[in-house]
Amino acid sequence: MSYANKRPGGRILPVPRLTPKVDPQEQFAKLETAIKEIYNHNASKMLFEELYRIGYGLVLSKNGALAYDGVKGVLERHLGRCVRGDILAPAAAVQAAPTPANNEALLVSVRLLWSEHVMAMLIIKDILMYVDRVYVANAHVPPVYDMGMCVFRDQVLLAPARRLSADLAKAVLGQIAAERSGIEVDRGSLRGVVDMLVELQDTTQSGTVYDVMLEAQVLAEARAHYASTAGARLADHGAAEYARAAQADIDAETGRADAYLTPATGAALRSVLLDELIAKHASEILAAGLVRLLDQHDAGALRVLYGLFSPLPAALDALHAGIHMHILAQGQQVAGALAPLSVATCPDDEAGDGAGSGAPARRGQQALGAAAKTAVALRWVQDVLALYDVYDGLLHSAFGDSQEMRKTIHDAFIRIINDNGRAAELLSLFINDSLQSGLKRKGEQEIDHLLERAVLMFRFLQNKDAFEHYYKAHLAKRLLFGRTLSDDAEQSLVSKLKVECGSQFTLKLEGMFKDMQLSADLTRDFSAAGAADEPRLDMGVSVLTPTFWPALAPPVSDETAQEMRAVRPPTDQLRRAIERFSDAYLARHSGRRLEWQYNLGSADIKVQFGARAHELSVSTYQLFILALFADAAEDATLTAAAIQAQTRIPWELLMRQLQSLACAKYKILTKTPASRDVSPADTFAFNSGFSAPQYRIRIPVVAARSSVESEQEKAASLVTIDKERQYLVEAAVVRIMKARRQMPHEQLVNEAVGQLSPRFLPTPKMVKDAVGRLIDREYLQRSPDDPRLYIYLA
Amino acid sequence: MVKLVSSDKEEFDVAMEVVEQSVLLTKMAAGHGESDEAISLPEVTGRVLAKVIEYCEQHKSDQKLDADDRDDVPKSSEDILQWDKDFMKVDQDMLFGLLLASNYLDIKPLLDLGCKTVANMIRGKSAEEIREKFNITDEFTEEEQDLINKEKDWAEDN
Repeated sequence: MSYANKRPGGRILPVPRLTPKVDPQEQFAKLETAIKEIYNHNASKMLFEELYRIGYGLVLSKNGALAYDGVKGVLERHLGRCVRGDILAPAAAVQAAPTPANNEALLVSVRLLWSEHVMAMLIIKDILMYVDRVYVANAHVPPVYDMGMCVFRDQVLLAPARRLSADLAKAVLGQIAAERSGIEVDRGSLRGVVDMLVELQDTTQSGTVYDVMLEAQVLAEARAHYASTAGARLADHGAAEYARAAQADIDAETGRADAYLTPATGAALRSVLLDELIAKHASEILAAGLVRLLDQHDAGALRVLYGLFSPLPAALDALHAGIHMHILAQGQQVAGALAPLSVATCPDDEAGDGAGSGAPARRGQQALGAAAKTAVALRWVQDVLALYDVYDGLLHSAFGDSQEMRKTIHDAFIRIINDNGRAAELLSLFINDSLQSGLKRKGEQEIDHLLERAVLMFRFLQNKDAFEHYYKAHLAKRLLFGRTLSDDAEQSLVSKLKVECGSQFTLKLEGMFKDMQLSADLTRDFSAAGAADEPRLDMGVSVLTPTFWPALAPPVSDETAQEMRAVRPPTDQLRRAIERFSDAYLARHSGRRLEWQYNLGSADIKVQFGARAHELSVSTYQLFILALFADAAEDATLTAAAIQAQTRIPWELLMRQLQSLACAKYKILTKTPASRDVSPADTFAFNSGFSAPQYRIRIPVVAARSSVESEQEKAASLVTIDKERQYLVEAAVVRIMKARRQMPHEQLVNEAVGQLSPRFLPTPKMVKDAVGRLIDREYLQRSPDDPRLYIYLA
Repeated sequence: MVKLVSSDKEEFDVAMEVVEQSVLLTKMAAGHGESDEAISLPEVTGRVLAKVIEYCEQHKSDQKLDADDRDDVPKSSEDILQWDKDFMKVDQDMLFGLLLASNYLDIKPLLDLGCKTVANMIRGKSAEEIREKFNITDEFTEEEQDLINKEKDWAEDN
């Protein structure tokens, strides 16, 4: 179907135009004159409306192309003339001799031409507003202003007569080089020219003229410049100086980019410099000074160094590795101080001590050694904490609290701490010492800091269960022997541990505190009730729940343990007091069983020696022994065998008690014969002639022992801990299997390790063994179809 | 205030905010600064200019849309405000005058309104009615017919 056939066309009556029809060429000539006037700064003379109406009229009369292309031609001719007049000469001068003055001259004249062109185009664009709105939109050509920009690019920068872009690039690069060498240049004209190049699109449309013809050259020159200076500078200065100089260079270059290049170039310059100055020399820089900077705690230099390294992944890794290595090396140094611990516990020494054959002189020596050993152990914790304080400080002052650096430092300390097999024990010992005596001279804040740090180390510790083992033992002694200085500090530490490891971990510790509290109440009630009939005996009893408390006495053979249960107080008075307490306690809590641990008790007794009285602080066993003499005649003698018969204290322990009463510093009893060794036939008598300067005297039970475990004790601890771990692993496996019903081996191992790792790190073998035991006990079975799959049996 | 002078030398004092509806007048007013110099508009008669100013007064507080935003607004000849509808109840001379003036002065909303009005006048009418309404008498010339055929080629069924 044809439009023409069906719809005979019509003509809309011509709209009466108000402006008379005129010759388009004539109209355009007016436009051309106007543009020339604009370039001559005579724009104000013209009537804007009239010029707009010319454009409007030309477009309406379908002469838009005449207006658009015509204006383009006018611009081309004008700019061509300007280039020939003002630009070619300075451009040639730059090519001949790129001195700062020649560069400057070219930059200034190009910038002037550009700014005049831009001013003119802003007016021309407005005049040709209607052309832009109607003709440009329909003809798909660039808007008038953009067209003006292209004309400038083609006529000036890419002028057929001379490729000015190359001259300009040379001039800009020359000025940058001059500035680098310390000559001051006019940044204003550089900024103007660069802005121009940024505004102009390259003919390839791949970016601005600046991107295409200048930026790469700027970067290449910078690279070449710094590549040649870096090596020599590192040789001349130390790492700290080098880093500072590099930072200054980067600041200068980015400052230059801010002043007259582009932000993108600034970023690119930065990475070029980082690459040339840092990345390519990273290992040399670190080798030249990292260790020294760390040892000197030079936070300022380290901060600069870190700032330079952190944008470069490979260099940053090297820095992290360097710091990690150095911390480990320092950790090893600190650990080196621990060496005496293992030397002092040589088997020879142990055997001598065990057989009780050591000469008194030797004993004294060992006591000294023991105190020194404790000091060495405390020293290790203190040193590690001090080291940590240093790096924690640097983390903040030099490394911007970076999470990665924090991790690196923590990883190093985790290594240091867990590489020391005794860390759990030493840490607990350190806390013990701090809470026992170390706190005396410290303020509350200091205590808090100390405990905070201790908990931090605890966090690094992998074998948290081992720590619990030691901590329980130390805490028990502190509580039972009333050695703790601050209940608040104790409680606060336990609650910190609770935060770290959960309530499961601190359950027993809290149980111990509770036992002590209940015992105190109990004792108060008891003595209030019974004060009347036993005025001479003031008794305090700690009732301990066995599951909370660790074994407190040194390990003894099963036989001895059996014998210890048979120990009885030798006098009626003591027996009555104990029975009365037992009766009272059991009446209150029926169904419980009380077992008296005489070996852990102590007593303060007042003893009359001839004219003078002393208050003696003795162990309960010693009390029993002395009680035998209290009721006897003054010159009565008892054989060791007789003493044992009456007290039923196991021989091994009795021997030591007698030694401490008769052979040590304070001779409360006299022994015949007066040798150090005790045999059953030896006789003892009360030493009424005893005297000492002080009124109060503490009789130590056993020779002073090091708080640090001997190898034997350590082995015993390990057995205890290992046993505990087996239960924990089994419990974890059962928990997991109960929830999942069935699970393949690997997954079970992973889950169990995951669950237990807050306390300790089980080996896969431990899990495997636990599974084996559970299969034996018919908690689990292997799937008949797949031997790697376990099934939970309800 | 800006002073506008029509082709027939009629003068109008108009507030700046009213003038700002026109892109052309905005530019010109800016170029002229705040001087009292009159802006002469030889393309617009006083009668039409008065009407244009009436429109601009009415719409002076409308939200100004950028060129981009305006293209996003769906164009429909239905959504004409009642005031605008009444405003456009004018004779044909005035209608064409407004179309030309709004194009010349670059008042986009008024140009759109004029076009919508014309569209509504055409809608649902036969060729004869349209021809009558707009005074279309002349046949196409041979030459024009060829041009039309060529331009509309793409729309034909092949």
